[in-house]
Formats: sequence, structure tokens, C-alpha cells
Amino acid sequence: MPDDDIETIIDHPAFRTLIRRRRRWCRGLTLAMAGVYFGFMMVAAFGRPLLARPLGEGPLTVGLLAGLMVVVVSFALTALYVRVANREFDPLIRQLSGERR
Amino acid sequence: MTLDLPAAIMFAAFVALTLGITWWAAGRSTSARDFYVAGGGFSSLHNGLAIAGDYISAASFLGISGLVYVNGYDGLVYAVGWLAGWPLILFLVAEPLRNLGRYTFADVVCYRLRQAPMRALAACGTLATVSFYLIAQMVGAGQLIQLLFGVPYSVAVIVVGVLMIVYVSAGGMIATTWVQIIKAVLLLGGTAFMALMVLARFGFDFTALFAEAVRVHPRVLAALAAGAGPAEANATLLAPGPMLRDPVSTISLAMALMFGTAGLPHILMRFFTVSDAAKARSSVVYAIGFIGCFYVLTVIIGFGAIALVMTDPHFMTPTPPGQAFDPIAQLRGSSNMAAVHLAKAIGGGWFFSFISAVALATILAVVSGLTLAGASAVSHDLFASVIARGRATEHDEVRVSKMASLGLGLLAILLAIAFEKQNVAFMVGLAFVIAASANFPVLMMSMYWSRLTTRGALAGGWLGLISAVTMLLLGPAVWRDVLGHAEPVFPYANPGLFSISLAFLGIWLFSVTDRSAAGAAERRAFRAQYVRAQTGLGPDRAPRRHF
Repeated sequence: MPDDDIETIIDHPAFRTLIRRRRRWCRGLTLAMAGVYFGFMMVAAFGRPLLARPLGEGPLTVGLLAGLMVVVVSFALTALYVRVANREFDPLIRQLSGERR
Repeated sequence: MTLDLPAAIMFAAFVALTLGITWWAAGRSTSARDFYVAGGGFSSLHNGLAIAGDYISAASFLGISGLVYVNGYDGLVYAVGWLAGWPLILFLVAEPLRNLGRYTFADVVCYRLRQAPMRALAACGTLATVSFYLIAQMVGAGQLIQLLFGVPYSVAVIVVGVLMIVYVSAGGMIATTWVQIIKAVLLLGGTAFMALMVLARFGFDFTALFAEAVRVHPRVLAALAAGAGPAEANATLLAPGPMLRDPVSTISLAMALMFGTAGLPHILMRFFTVSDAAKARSSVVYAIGFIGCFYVLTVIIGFGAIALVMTDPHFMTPTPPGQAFDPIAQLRGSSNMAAVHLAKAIGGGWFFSFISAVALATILAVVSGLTLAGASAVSHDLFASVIARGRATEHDEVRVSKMASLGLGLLAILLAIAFEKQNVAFMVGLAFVIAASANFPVLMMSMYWSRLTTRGALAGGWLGLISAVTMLLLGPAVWRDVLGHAEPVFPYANPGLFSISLAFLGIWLFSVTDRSAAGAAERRAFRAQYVRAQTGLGPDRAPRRHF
């Protein structure tokens, strides 16, 4: 019987919505994070003059700002994911598990 | 060097405290579930702190500040990479992992694939990662104890090894988790205080801090002496430097740091110490907050060490006759010790002792977590599932796990003595390459790719593991620096680009060409696994023994 059980969940509209939303968000957020980080590392590997450029007067460089921005982006994407997960994913999961009891 | 009394007192107090926790926990861990995952009963905040505690090792604290001290910007690049893997864990790994697994990440990989060979692969991947990681931590601890107490390096390493074996074999996961939590709070507090003190010296003006670092760093001075302009000389410290010259190694490093985090067995174990997927998610969020702040602080500490330690002869060994003063080569106890010297420069003897004791405690806690992960791989994956084929009792399994801790402790002592001269942050980077090549591809594909079969997972996993270890052993870090050959066989310090790609390629190729009936059954089982991974509902078909 467990196979029937699985098929009921898979066909359930709440499950389909959950999968569709989660796939979209997780893919987008992963690509954004990987893009930002690998972009930063590619510039470090191939575009050193860009990172070496001074930032206004004084010793600070574009590179220092870029490193800090990767940290800020990590925090921002994390916060965004949590917001979406709490508001969109959790209610659907609760609905599914509630109907099975 | 003589014994540093305040440091000895601080260190002894900390060891006594943690041994007390271990003794208390030993009374409370009565089942295998307690021993491995602390009964699954930690709160998100506690677990997030423990994850951060497992991750922000002394190798990052001492290693990154040391890398910044020597190379400036390159240290910052390591720090950023060690954070950047975490959001990926949050988006892709934490929740499905918690829904599918129980004690180790091998449980997840085995949900629909064949038990014995997959567990053997996961256990070997775990052991290889843990061994390299252990070396880095033990080297840091050895150098620190040597600096503090004036004992020989080998004695220092043996002391650390013995303490670690005691923690793990007596207390299991409850003890390691509490030690981890206390230590995370102390380390975060200590680094925050240090960074604040550094900034206070410069009137909370970042520009002034960096200006002073640039003014005194020997690389900048050398560039100026060679006729470089001020902006160009400035960039030798505050833009990508010698560690990032070679694009292949830089991209390999990026891949290893980003994907390795999601393949670290002792981190993955931390998702099973909470009760459900939502809690696994929120513990990762706490962990990301702590880890991100910690790395930013560590980078500030590294530049603070340049500005405040580099010009102070107290922290330097005497200049050899006939040579010029070199604040990098002459720093007492190697560049890994830059942060502890800075503690003395800004907070005096007692703060220096406090930071040293926290750094040591950090290393003890991290090696305990690592050893526990390695021991679980041996007892839960190799012994219980592969050798005893499910017939071992819970008692046997815990006993094997304790024996494995002993064995790993001894191995770590021997390897730490062999690798004494290595830079610790760099060594941790090597552990990440193995995790990213052997564990990460198999774990990701088993959770997300429906066409994966046992054949593909085995081929790709072994390919990643063996190629990563071989290229590391033949590369400059081991073949040249440890074994003493003149030229490395494999030219790149970091083989991540090749070994990670090989692993994914192997998994894909050997899965799509698998026409067996067993493979077809494994593909059909993906639906049930997917439902469970996404929702926590459905059959809990990961073959589990009942405790």
C-alpha cells in the first residue's frame, strides 16, 4: 500500500504547488549565490586590476568592497529564503501532513 | 620559552570544565541515538551555535588571521569562500537531509541505493576528509601549546590527541555538542572583543586601520623600494596576491570551498541533532549569521595584527646576523600565531591567555566533532551495515565507535607530527577538496537526480575520492613539502576543478549507461524518496535497524 500512499501525495494539489514553488525558489537562489561567488572568484583570478582599483581617497580598494558585498549578499539571500520557506512552504507541508492523520 | 602561568591556569580551567560536561553527558547518553545525535533533541539556537562551533575552527581563526598577516587580501578570499557555501546548504541540503537521514549522511545516500557498497564509499570519503581536517587542527594546537608552555611540538600534539580521545569516547554527541556551544560563544565573544579593541585603536576608522597596515607591511615596502607607485604598492596588500595568481588553482579553490562545506561529514551530522526539517533550516540560519560575523571579525583581526604586531619587536625572534628584519619569518611561533600575539598587544597578558585557551578549546572541540564523525562512519556505516550486515547490537556498535575514536586519535597524532610545517588554513582547504569531490557529488545527485543508480554513484564517488587524494598526495603540498621531493608530479596545489568534475562526470556516465533491472528499480524508488525529502512524509525506507 505505501506506493498508493505516495501516489496520493504526488497527485495532491498542495504537493504540486509546494514542489513548483520550492523548485523555482531554490533554483533561483542557488544560481544567484553561486553566480555572485564564482563571479567574485573569476574576477580575482582574471581581473585583478579591477579589484586593485582604489576606492576614493585613501588605501581602500574595490576588492575589499567586493568581498564585503559577497558576505552581504549571503545574508540577504538567506533572509529571503527563510521568509519564503516560512510563508509559502511550511503551510503547504502542514496541510499535507494534517490530511494524512 | 618558559611556561606562561595565566595561560596554564586558563587552559586547565577550560579543560576541567569541558571534562566535567563530558562526565555529566556520559551519564545521559545511554543509547546509540544519544551517542550519535544527542537524541535529536537540541533547539535551533543551540544547534545553530553548535554548527558554527564545529565550523569556525581554530584553523579558521588562527589560519585566516595568519594568512591575512602574510598575504593580506588572499586571506579575505578564503574567509569569503568559507561563508559562501552555507547559503547553498540552506537552499539545497539541510531540509531534505533531515527528512531522509538518521545518523550519518550515508543513511541518505542509501535511501534507494544498495546499502553495503554505498556505505563503504561514504565511510571512506568521510575518513579521508576527517583525516586531512584533523591534521590541520592538530598542527594548530601543537604550535599553540608549544608557544604557551614551551614543551616540544610532539608532546603538545600527543596531549591534544589524548584529550580528544577522552572527550569523544566518554561523552559522545551530547558532550561534544555542549562543548561546541560553550566554545562557540567564547570564541565569538573573544573575536568580537578583539576586533572592537583593534578598531578602537584607530578611532573606529577603517581607513586608518588599513592605512597603517599598508604603511608597515613588508610587501608594500618592497614594492615601493622597487619603484612602484603608491596605488600599485597599496594593491600588493589590498588586492588579490600570490595565492591567487594561477587561475586553475583559484577556480579549484572556489569550487572546493563552495561545495566542500556541503560534504563535510561532521557538519552534515549536525542536521540530525534537531527534531525536524524546519528546525534544521532555522539552525542553519543562526549558523550563517554567526559564521558570517566571525569571518568579517577575523579579517579585521588579521589586518589589526599587521598594524599592531608587525612593528613590535616583542613578538619577533631576534634578527639573524647579516639579514634584514623580516616580520613574517620572525614572528614567534609562525604566522599562525598572529592573532594570539595581537591579543597580547591590545589586551595584555590575561587577554592573551584567554584567547589562547579559547583557541585551544576550539581545536579540542573541533577535533572531537571530527573524530566522532569518523568513528560513526566506521561503526555505523562500515561495521554495523557492511561487516556485521545488520546483526550487530547497539552495544557492539557503540563499542566499535569508541575503538575507532582511539584509532583515529592515534592516526591524527602521527600525521600531525609529519605535517608540522604546513599552513593550517591551507590544510583545511585540502580537506574541503576531498569533501567536495567524494561526498558532495554523490549526496547531491542522490537527492535531486532521479536517474541515478548505485553503479553510477559508486563509479563517480570512488573516482572523485581517489582522484582528489591522489592529486593531493602528488601535488606540491604533500609530494614536495612533506615528502621532500624537488618537484611535484601534479602541478596544482588544489585539484578541485579536476576531481569534482570527474566525480560528476562519472556519476552521470555510469548511471545513464546502467541498463540493469536493479538500476531501473532504484530509479522508480526516486518518487517515494522525493516525497519524503520534500515533506518528511511517506515511507521511511532508509534501511534502519531499530534501537
